[in-house]
This record gives sequence, structure tokens and C-alpha cells, in this order.
Amino acid sequence: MDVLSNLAISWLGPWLLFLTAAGTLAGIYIGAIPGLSVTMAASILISFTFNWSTNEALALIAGVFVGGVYGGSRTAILLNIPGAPASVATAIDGYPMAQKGEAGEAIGLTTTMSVLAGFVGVGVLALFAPVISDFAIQFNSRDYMMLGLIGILLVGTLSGESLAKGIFSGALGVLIGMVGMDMMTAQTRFTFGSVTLMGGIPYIVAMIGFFGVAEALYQLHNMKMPPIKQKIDRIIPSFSKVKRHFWLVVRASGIGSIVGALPGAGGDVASLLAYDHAKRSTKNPEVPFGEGAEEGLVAPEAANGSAVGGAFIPMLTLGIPGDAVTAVIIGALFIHGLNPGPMLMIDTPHLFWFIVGNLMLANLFLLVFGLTGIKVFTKIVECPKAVLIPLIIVLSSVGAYAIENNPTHVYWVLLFGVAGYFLKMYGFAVGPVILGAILGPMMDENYRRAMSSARGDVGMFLSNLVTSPISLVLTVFFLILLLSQTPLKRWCVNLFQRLRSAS
Amino acid sequence: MSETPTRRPTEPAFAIVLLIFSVAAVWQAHGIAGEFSFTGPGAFPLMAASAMTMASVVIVIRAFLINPPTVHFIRGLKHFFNDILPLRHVIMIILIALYLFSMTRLGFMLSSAWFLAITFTYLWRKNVFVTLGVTAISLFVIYVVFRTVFQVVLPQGNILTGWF
Repeated sequence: MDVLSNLAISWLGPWLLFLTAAGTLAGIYIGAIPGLSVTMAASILISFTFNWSTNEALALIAGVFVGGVYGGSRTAILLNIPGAPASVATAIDGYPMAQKGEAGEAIGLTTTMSVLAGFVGVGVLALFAPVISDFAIQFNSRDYMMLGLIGILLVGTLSGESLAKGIFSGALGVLIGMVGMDMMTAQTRFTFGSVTLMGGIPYIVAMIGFFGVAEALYQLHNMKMPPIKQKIDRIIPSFSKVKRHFWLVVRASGIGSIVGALPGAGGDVASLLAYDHAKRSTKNPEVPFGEGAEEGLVAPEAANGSAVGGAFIPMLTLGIPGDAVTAVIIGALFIHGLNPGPMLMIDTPHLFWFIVGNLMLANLFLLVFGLTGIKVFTKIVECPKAVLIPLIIVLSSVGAYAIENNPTHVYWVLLFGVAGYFLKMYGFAVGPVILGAILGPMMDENYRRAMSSARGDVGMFLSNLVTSPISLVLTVFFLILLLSQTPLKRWCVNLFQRLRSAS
Repeated sequence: MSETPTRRPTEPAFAIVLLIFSVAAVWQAHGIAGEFSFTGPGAFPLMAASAMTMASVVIVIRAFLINPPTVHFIRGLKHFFNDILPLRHVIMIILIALYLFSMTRLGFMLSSAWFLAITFTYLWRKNVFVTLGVTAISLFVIYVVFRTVFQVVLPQGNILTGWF
């Protein structure tokens, strides 16, 4: 009875209902605008909600989180400019759908599947939080390093022309992430004596440059192309379509919940793993992947949506943030006198069930707000490019400046924008650059921890990669992924076929 | 991933630029923290730079041997300035650079106003009233969304400090 009453707190309280709705709506638009991040919005909200009750603060922030994670897919589909790193995979098939005039259908599909997956993620949180947190805690430093490598390799192989170009882009992103002062030793890296560079380059600046400005410059080639009229008569996907993708959504949600539960790994890695899974498991898609396949849209969005619930698992059970937003939420809990950690669920179980109920409510509002307002968003695509391109430049500049009020960041946006434009023109994907910039520092830190625990012995480090079960699975997956993109795969397949025909 | 890369006459030159950049990155990474150590701050950047160099070597090989350019160098240069970096792009990049430079001096509103007005005129070529009208509406919406709703501090510049 207590569980049910705590679940229903935000459903039955008008003010909490309003805060959850407002947070979700704001989150959708924050997530859609590159440069306005959900983390930034959540941080601002902490100061606004300082004097509020815990439930009110959590309702608003959770709504922004749920809406923001979804919102990044809007501009990914409409403009090929992901609003957040977790939407990089969505753009691969979402944007081609918009180019065929199917933006309304794409957004409707992502909204519905994101909501379904969100409920799966919340269900996993409610039913399996302790089990998943036990599993998540077994991941050690080398496993996180491998997860980062897999994420970058995945995005490098899923888009772009070749594995070499994907690896180049990913490594470039890692180097961008390395700029600044090393957190462990305070050693400067790639700063060239500049005090400004000692603070590093925020990945959002790189994202705005490589995706926003580069795309705007790229679109200058298509000025004469008439705006694509978007079909918005069918927004809500048919029941048969939902049924067709249902099990893919369930599997992608599982991936999202588990990866989301890994501290430091979030929707960006989860969405790529889910996209790769969809590509491997879908035989004969109606439309090829990369050209507007619905499966390529559904899987990453489902993983993204369920990763939200997953991110709350380590936060509530272990006091360890699942991602940047839950790190902010932990701050909010401290401000309100609570102590996130293993004792939270024992001392304040009502809080756990309140969060579960609130996330379910936010998901419902996501369905409502996500499916309405599509017409307004699709009008953006129908705008003349001559108006859209300068506006993207202005928004990109504001977004870059807004991160830290640092004027240097807007110059980085131009540099990255020009570099990203040339990379795109020569067949490189820019997604791996952003993933590299985000995951690079995490991989560096975990690599050095893993190497330190192997006492600097390379042989021991490499043998640890295959002796621990989780490390072994990740290492094998990484090697299969790498080798499957080389001629070795074709040779193995040919050899296998020859052996079969010989026998 | 697409199976057949598109042939681009200037791709070998671009590949060489990337290789030079990668080698420079390796050189810079090697210089981090003096003596190399597998647990030091220079280890991971060196690995990333090395991976980038190896990838760029493969890209150069593919560009020159497997997918060689079939046009004369001068024609390749013409292709670069016609298809990769045409005049419109050069002008837009210069305008963007001037816009960003002026933003810190004139502030966001003034610099965005001139940038939008000029780029709309150059790209859209509508009459001056439509151009100025769309510029004003765009600026108003951006200001309301960023300054009022999201409380983002916009660059003030030296001329209109405190006005917005």
C-alpha cells in the first residue's frame, strides 16, 4: 500500500503534476537545441529549486531529464544536427527519412518507441535495481576503457566510408578530449603554452562545431534544392508498425537499461550498441540501414529512452551517478539533507518509489508533448536554406558562448566547423569525433587505473583483458567488431564456404 | 558503411594533410611529461595519435594506389575550388569569422543583426524590407528564448554593455 501511495504522489498532486509536465516540455526543447544541454539545465534548476521541497525539485529535474534525452533526436532527424551525443545514432537513419519527406513519421515513431522504452527502463529500475547494480559494480577500469573503445569503433563503423576514416575521426576526437590539464598529474597536454587551453575544450563546443556549423556549410551546396515538403498526415505510428518493432524495442531497452546503469556510460554508448544490434539482427530491412531504415531509428531511441531509468539505478542504490544529470540530482539530494547510497532505499524507500512514479508520469507527458508540436518542428525543415543556414550559425555561436560565457569557445566552433566540413566532404563521419571527445577522458583515466593495477606491466594488463569474464566478453566483442570491417572477414567467409562445399 | 568510396580528385592531397597532422600529433604527444611511461599522462594521447597516424597511412594508400586520382593536378585544383571550396563557402566562412570577431566587441545583438541581414541578403536575395523583417523577428525570438527563458548571458560587447 505504501509503495502504491508513494508511486502515485506526483500523479495525484496538481502542483507536482504541473512541475513534471513543465519539466518534460522544457526538456524536449532544451534537448533539441545544440548548445543547451540537459546537464546545464538541471544545474540551473538546482539553484532555482534550493528552497523547494525534495519532491518538487526532483519532479522538475526528472521531467527535464526525460524530455531532454528525447529532444536531441528532433534536430538529429530534421537537420542532421544531433541535439545531444546520444542522438548521433538517430541521425544516421532519421535524417534520410526527413530527406524523403517522412520527418513527421520519423518523429512520431521515435516518440512512441522512446516512451515505450522509457517505461521498460523505469520497470527495470523498479524491479531489478539491486540486481543490476550488483552487476554494474563488477565493471572495473579496464572494462570501462573497453566500453569506450567499443563505442567509438561502433560509431566509426556505422557511418562514414571506411574503417580507417572512422578510426581517424574517433582518434581525432580523443585528442580533442585530451586538450588541457591532466586531472591526475596536472600535466598540460596539447596546450601549446596557452592558459586558455589549460581549461580544455568542452565537448559541446566540438559538437556544435562539427555538427552545427559543419552541416550549415555543407548545406550551402544544396541552396538550389527546394525545401522538402514533409508528410505530417501520419504522425502516430500504426499498431502494426509498433507490433513489428516491439521486440526490437524490448531488446534495445534492455541494452539501454544495462548500459545506462554503468556509471559514466550513458545513452550515447547505449544508442550505438542498440543500433549495431538492430543492424545485425534485422534480416532484409524494408529500407537499407543508413538510408532511412525504421529499425535504425527505433533501436537507438529505445536505448536512449530506457537509459534514463538505468542511470537512476547506481545513483539510488550505490550513491554513484549513472551520468552527468544524475550527478546533478545527487547534488540536489544532498542539498535537501538526503544521503544517496545503499542506505537511501532503506531509510527513505518512499523516495525511490516517488522517483519511479515520477519517471512514469514524465514518460506519459513525453508522449503527449512529443506527438504535438511536430507540425511546428517540421516547418523548420521547410524553411528556405538561405534563412536556415545563418540562423544555425547564430544559434551555434550562442550555444557555444552559453556553456561557460567564454568568447574563445565561439572561435573553436568556427575552427571545428570548417574542419568538420572538410571531413564530411571527403567522406569522413563526424560522429566518431564527438564520441571520442566525450569518451576519451574517461578512457584515459580508466586505462591508467587499469595499467596501475597491473603495476605498469603491459603483459599483465593484456592478460587481464582476457582473464576476467566481463573483460573477456568486451575484448572479444571489440576484436570481432574490428576484424569484421577488414578483408579478413571476407576471407574467413570464403574459406568457410569452400570448406562447406568441399565437405 | 558504403561499399564503394566516391572518387574525389583532391582526396590524395587531403589524405597527405591528415597524415602530416597525425605525425605532428604523435610528436606533440610524445613530448608530454618528458620520459614516456605506460601509466603517465602522455600514454593514452600517444596511443590515440598513433592510431590516427596508422589510419591516415591507410587512407593515403587507398587514395593513391587503390583509388588513384584520374585528373591532372591543375584540374584537381579547379575541382577543389569548384566543388569543395567554391566562392560562396569562402565568403560565408569570412562572414562567420567577422561575425564571431565582432560579437565580443559589438555584443551579440548588434553583431547578429548585421550578420543575419548581410547573409540573408547574400543567400536569399529578397527585398530589403523582407530581409530586415525576418532579421528582426529572428533576433527577437532568439533573445526571448535564450535570455529570458533560459537565462543565458549573451555577449555584451563594449558598445551596448548592459542594454541586453
